[in-house]
Amino acid sequence: MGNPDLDSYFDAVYSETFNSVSRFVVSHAARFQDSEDIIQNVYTRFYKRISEKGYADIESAEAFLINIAKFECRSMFAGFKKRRDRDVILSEIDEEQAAAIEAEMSRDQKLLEDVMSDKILAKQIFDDIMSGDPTVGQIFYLHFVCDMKLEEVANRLDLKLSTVKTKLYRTIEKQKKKYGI
Amino acid sequence: MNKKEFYKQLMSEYSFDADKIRENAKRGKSARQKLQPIYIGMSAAAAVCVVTVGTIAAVNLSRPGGVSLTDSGLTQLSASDRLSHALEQLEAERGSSESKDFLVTFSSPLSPAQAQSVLTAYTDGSIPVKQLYFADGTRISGGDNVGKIFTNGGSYQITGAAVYCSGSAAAQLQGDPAVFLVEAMEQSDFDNAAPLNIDEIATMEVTLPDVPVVSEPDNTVPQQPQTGAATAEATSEAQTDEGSDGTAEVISSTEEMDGTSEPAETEQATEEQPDEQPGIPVVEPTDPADPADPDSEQIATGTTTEPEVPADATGGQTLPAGVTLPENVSGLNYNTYISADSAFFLNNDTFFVKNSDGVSLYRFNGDTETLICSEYISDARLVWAAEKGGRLIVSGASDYGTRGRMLLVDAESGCIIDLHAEDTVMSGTLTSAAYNSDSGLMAMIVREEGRYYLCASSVDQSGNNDYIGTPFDSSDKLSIAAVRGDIVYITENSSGKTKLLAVNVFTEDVRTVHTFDSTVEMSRNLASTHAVFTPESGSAIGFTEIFDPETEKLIQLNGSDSSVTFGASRHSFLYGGNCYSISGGSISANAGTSVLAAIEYRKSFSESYAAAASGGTARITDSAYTALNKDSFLTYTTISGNASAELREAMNGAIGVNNALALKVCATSGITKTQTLLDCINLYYSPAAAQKLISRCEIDALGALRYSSGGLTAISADETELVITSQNSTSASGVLYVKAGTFGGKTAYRSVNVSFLLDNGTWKLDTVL
Repeated sequence: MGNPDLDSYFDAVYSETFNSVSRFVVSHAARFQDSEDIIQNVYTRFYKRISEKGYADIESAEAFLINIAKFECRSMFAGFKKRRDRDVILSEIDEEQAAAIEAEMSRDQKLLEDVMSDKILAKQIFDDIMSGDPTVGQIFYLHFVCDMKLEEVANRLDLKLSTVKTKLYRTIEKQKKKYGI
Repeated sequence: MNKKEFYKQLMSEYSFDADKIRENAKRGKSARQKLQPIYIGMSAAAAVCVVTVGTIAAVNLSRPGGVSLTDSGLTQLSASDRLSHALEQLEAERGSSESKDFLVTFSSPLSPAQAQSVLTAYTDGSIPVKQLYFADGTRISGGDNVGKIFTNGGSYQITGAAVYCSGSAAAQLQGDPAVFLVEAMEQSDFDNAAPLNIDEIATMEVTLPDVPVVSEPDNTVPQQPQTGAATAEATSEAQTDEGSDGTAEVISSTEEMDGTSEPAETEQATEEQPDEQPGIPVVEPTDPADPADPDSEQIATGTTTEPEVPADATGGQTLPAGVTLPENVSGLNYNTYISADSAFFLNNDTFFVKNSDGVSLYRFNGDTETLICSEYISDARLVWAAEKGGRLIVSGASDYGTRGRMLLVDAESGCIIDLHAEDTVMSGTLTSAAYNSDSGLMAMIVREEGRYYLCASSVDQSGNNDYIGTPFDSSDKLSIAAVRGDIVYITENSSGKTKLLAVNVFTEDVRTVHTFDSTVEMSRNLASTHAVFTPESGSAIGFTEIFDPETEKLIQLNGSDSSVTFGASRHSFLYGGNCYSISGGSISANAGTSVLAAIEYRKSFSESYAAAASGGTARITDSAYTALNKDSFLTYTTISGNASAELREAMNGAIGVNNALALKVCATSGITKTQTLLDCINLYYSPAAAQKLISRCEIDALGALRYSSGGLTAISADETELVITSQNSTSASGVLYVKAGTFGGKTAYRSVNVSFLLDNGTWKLDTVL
């Protein structure tokens, strides 16, 4: 690694933009599992670009990175098109069930802290979320990490709101049965 | 902690390793080469159990501090160090459920079935395999390719595999007698590392397993080189799985990039044989201008040939002594000696030059050229040119070594603007690009790792390029047919057919406009407003058709000519020697000179000059698309003169006088006094016409020799045809046809009505030309 100025600029951009870039990528990648690779490529390309040509002409690093991310999402996994094709029809969860799950999700549980501290179990729960429908991971990330409302998630993923809710709540219910959380 | 907080923390911690991404980015590590695995077996369950390391557990780890795996990966380690490092890693990973990439080296080469059996034995029958290595040193990667090996079987000798599994599963694999070593892989190892060569390991460090590697004799695969066919197949497979360096990518032909309508050969011919008539020698003026008249003849734009009207050849009358009138003139023929493989004027005085070093703009003042701006770009090709000139876009190689850079060349503002296309194309290859000036939409087809992507951006008048998105992609070849509004029309060649698709770049909606029953050749005009479809070479079926985006119709052209030339024109084209325009989904004949100007954009953007590459340099000549020619009614039929020798002689003499005035070369023609000039005028012009000429050129009959060009145009007598339509004993009238140039491949004549009067037995022109 070389240029300290370059690295400090990159580090600053990285910390400022990681959330927005990851949110964009998760929204647009074909599968959540692909997102890390795409994000890796986005920042690698960005670093290569500023290494070779500097960054004086980059007005908005975030906009620049999003532009790269747009191409990377397409380039690596052809996500935009596939996403529309995979709006799987599930038996929808009704409003009453949804409300009950929402209420339960807001209730403190000491057990959850214990689970989180058990790295192996926590990783298993994470892998369980990722193992099934590829959009479930996207929904979880955008809703919980990016604090996006479910309506926003639905719009971003080009899915029906009811589909998003169904996928989210069914997964939470499944994990409740499987892991007791 | 509630469940919302739990999931927020869980997803934040386990989704991405932000530190790793940041550091990998700085090291230039890309996930691009991460290979999509093929899952062999039935399900993708991951085994989570602890096993002991069996096969080579007896190895003495001779390095107390262990082995550090550098960022360069396995290739930087010796065989022995790889072994030690692998065992350290496996010890660390043995209880881990985290999945990683592992390189499995088999104890001896296995058949596909054997390899599958070994690899799936510890993973509930399923494991992602990203790459396979063969005994002949080749490898294949990619889900499809790997899948074929396992599905189709064959006599492959597999020496190793790159798999993605948990650390614990890897440790179990290490315990299999058929497996010599399991090593954690870095991303770069997919390209660089190979299964460990057991022979390179010092035997004192390793205890090889006692049990036979493959217990069933029938399954034992002899260790000999693959058959030629098998090797070729494996190699072929490996080659079709393209790397990311773009080397395997084929840059599209120049056709689309510079407007296929103008075949390269024709363009070359145009450039090699410009209209400047290089055979005519240039005769520099030998006589200085009249020293008493410093203003005279200082703005001559052309040079004259040897005078062809001798003083004693005027049928009884004679020119003043020493006068030789410039009956014929040679036009401008200026060699700039600027290296050029393409050159043409973009506006009236600024010309564009393309050569192997890049593109440049020069301004020409009639005598000399001045460099305005220049930009290095290799292998530049024309993508778009404005219908009325002034601007164009070229593409060329980017810093990534592939076609991916685009420059906007603006003669009006005298600058070259980088459109930063390479920020979108990056390491891919730009195979097709189009720009529609009406909507400002730029479309690019980028080929990357065997896939074609349609990328769209908006380019404003200042050259700001805003990326819109990548609304469509395909593994089949895509080419841009036309751009209209928000719609990009593309062709997709698949299964022996060509589909014409309409893609909305904002909504990403895709429609099939037309499907051709066979693969057709497609070209596009520079303005990106129409596409031309022709049957593939050698095909006897089909017609040449023009696609009209406005109506989404295919307009069939009659005739056998397959050459359609749009040039920079948006809606007009040359076909079969005639000019047509498209409107409302139909075509109609249109032969206006201004229409032809857009088609012949390389010759027409300046009314004064034309530039062309000739002999490797840019040469400047007079433009055929002068304001006079564009405003005149041009005749394209073959003209044969019918005038008598006397009338012709009078005409030539009048032309000589006209030229001396128009070019202000009276002095060099031997006319140094006002009276001499008046004598010459009166010799060939009737009294009325002479008076008009004197007045028009502001000749002071009583003063020193001073005159203006009077707006006259020089004419070469050799390039005229005089057709007399009526004649009697005292007068004659007819039409003087003046060769205006070649337009659309045809010679055109400008016509001037002329009349003659017989004056003292001599014919004189009664018209000012």
